[in-house]
Amino acid sequence: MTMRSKNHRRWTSLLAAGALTISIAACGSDDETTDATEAPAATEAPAATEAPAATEAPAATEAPAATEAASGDAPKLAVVYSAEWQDGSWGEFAYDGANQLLADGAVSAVELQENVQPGADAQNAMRALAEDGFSPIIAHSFNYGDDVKLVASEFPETIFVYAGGFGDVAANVGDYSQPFFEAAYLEGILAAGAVDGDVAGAGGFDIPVCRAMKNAFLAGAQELDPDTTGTFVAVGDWYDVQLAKEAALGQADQGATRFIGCGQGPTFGQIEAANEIGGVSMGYVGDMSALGESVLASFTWNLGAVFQLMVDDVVAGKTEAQYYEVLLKDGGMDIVINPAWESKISPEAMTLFEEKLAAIQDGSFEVPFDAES
Amino acid sequence: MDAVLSIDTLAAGLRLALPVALAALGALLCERSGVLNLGLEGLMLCGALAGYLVTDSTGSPWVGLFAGLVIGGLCGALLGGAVVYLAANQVVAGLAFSLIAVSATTYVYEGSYDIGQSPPRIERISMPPLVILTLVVLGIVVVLLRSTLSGLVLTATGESPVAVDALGYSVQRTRFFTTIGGSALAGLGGAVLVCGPLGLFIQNVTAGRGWVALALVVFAGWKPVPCVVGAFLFGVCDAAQLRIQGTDTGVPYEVFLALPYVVTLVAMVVRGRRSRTPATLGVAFHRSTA
Repeated sequence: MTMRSKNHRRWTSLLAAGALTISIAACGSDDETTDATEAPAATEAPAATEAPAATEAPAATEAPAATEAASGDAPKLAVVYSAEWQDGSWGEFAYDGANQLLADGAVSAVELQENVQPGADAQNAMRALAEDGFSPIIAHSFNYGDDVKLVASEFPETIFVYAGGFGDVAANVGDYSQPFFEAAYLEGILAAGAVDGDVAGAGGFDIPVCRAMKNAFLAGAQELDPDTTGTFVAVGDWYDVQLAKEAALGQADQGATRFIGCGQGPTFGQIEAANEIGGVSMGYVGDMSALGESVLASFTWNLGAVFQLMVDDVVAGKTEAQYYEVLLKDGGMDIVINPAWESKISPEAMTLFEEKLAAIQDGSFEVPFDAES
Repeated sequence: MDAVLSIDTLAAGLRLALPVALAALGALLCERSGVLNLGLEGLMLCGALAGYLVTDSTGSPWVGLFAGLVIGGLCGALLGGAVVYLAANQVVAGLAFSLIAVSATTYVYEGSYDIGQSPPRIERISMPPLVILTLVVLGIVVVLLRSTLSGLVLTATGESPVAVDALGYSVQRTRFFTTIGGSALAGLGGAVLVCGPLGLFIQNVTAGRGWVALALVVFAGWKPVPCVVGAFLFGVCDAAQLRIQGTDTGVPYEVFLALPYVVTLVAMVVRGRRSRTPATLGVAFHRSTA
């Protein structure tokens, strides 16, 4: 072997090792641990104007509870997520919800880890968090189910919760509800009062939460427009916006003008499609009014209230998790109507919307959950 | 079923095909010269982000497309320098680049907007100019490979670098510049996705299209025209399966999601016998040991 060949191999090894080191470092989760005494997150939380709950969170310096919590009596909360927090939707509301609890002094520390891929990465992350004394540990994606169950069996005193959305509870593994179908029903009423046409639902995959959203949206629209029909398409990916947009345009070709998405990618795709064809679309977990003229209404998710239930269980010394559910009547969600659309929604639809909202809030009406058709 | 068998489905297939077709042409150039460019997904992502940010700041999606092309080329120079001059393992270097690109684009994108802020939609280019652009690129690649000395040298570099070297051409320089050109096309493909059909960027917006483009090169037998036709076929299958889901068939939706991949797999098996992999694909060239 010549000297040059040896040099080449040496360079190759160095480059490969360097590249792998950089990629591992770059792909690793972005950790963000915040103590209540430091409380920078608490001051950041109000900046997220999309989260009504977060905007109500007082600055840590003004909150005696936060300094009290710093004594260490309050639990330490951890949330892991498979994408970035800054997604304007699902991730961002978890970020705001966790920081809200810190600002309120309900927890003594918050650990937020983004870009943690389901599988070995998630398992390692959750093991490390459990060893560091975090409880509850919240895995903020449906895809973490298997990882949570595996790691939870190794730490029976720690409460683990993941975003299953269908009551998948066993021992110290909990699940939290995503009752978006309630908001979808009300949005369906608004949509029927804004444009004519059929209903189009889409989700990353055909899971009960998504299917129920579309069915509730259709049921809401049928309150004013009984003849309207609807279809549901599973895009096959939660983040493929182009595929989602094409799915929505396909549904539009078949007469759909009222769109509701489940998941960030499907929703963004539907908004773009609705913008193009002159239909109406709904924002998903976050006020998406700024994303296009087609956005008629959105719903926000008060994840701080959901996380609070988990923290309460830890404070009470429980080691058995539950199905944590905060419905619309309990302040779990808010409907935000795009101001640009307020004057274009028929008075009949607005009246019915307000009646049904009031009925849901006082408990006299329950939106039917239908994840089958 | 009428909604599935329609002009709209073909138009949707075209929209889905263009970014993949451009990236596949870029990968084809690299592979014809013997460089296995597994960084394609990352190159598309870099091009997409560059296209988005530049369009956002300049207001011109055409400038955004150019930025995607340039960033793709610059990243290609980095990748080409590693695999051609430093003889880094092409599989490891390409995969590492794609992994880094996913994180790097997320990092830059996150840094560009505050949490709670809605990233703006950008101006978009309509489909006809993008179709013409893709056909022009296809024409250039076909003419380059079939009718120019440079194209002949490029192909020969992938088949027999020793012979090319003996004739006095630089194998490494040919592969380096081909990697830059191919990577630039991949970056352009990413920028077309963002500046054309979408008008927005989100984390990992290419969603695996780079890997599909790599498979298309094999499917096309390393020939440019079948490469673009394959991208169109894949796009039409995707568009059709989305529309079939909207009809009441009673068939599990997972079957439809798999349709584009099944069609590609079948086509690759059928065409596989006639395809001819470049003889030194993925093999580094050392003049001293040649």
